[in-house]
Amino acid sequence: MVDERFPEPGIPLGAALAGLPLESPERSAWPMLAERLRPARRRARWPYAMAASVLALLLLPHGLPTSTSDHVLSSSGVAATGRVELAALMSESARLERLLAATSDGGASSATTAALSLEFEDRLHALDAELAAAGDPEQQLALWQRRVQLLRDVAAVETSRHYLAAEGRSLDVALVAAY
Amino acid sequence: MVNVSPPSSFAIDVPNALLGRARRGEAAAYEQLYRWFERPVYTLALRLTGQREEAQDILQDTMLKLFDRLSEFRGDSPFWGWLRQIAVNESLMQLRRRGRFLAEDEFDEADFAAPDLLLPPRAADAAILGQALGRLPGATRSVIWLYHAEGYTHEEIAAAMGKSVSFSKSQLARGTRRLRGLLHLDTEAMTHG
Repeated sequence: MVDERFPEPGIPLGAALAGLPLESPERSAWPMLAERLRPARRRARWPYAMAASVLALLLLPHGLPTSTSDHVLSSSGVAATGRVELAALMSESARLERLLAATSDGGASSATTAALSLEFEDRLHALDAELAAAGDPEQQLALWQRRVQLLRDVAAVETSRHYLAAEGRSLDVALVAAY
Repeated sequence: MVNVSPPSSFAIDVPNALLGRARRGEAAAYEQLYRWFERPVYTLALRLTGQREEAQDILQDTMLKLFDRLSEFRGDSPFWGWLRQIAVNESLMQLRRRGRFLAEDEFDEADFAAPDLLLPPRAADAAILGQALGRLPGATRSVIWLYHAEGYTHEEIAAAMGKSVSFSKSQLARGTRRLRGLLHLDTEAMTHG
């Protein structure tokens, strides 16, 4: 009980507000930020793009295994599940990048793969520029879906190249045959 | 009224060498900057928006802008002030998107009389004060936080919010009175100046 003869000392509002403890986010934003920094540092190492879906269908009947279900890549409503979908896409994006880093030959195997590599890099950087400017969550989700799809395509080409090489065939020949 | 604020939680001296490494694209330098400013940015965003999920988004967007625009930082003012302004802009933009900005209305000079509120220790308790702050309208809470906790002037607040100086003064006075009510304070005993 407060003794009224000795009133409580007052704390200025400004000091009380500034004295509130710092809050911590529930999850670190760093993994996503690190993911965004990665392409710029590695752009020169990635080969291939384009024609990937055709090759994947031709050479890998079952396509690449994916951990993201089809509904994640649909463009349906985002609101409640958007964050979960976004996290899944970012995770798959990181996984595909690791796969590419492990399997890529740096576009050195032929002039065709070098040209595909440049095309892929251009597309990826255009997507990343759009992502940097996107403020709307739905737009971000759509862009991350395109980014993952692009990485899947490149991974399909890369996997196809290894598959063909194991059979003593060439990716260039397969591309000509496909088109 | 003179606003003598304690230093902002952003006030961290960042070595030029670290900024130089970040400008050269060194991920470890960016990570260091993120670690230092994660909580100040998140706390500012939370105080202004009152929503944890929005604060999380603002933290991410602020750091992305930091990475994208670091080359634009000239070094003629402290780095932390530059970063804080990005965080403030992102937070206010979020409030605007949600339609939580008040329209300018008519001001009475009496509106500008913001008493320098003195809180008893029980009202300065973090949980109680944080809860009361959270019940203020977004624009009002933003003015109070920027003025008292971050040391902004009314002119700086008006510029950041795209409002008039009168708007800032009025929101500060009204918000202070409303806080006093929310904290169940005795007006006579708890004000001075």
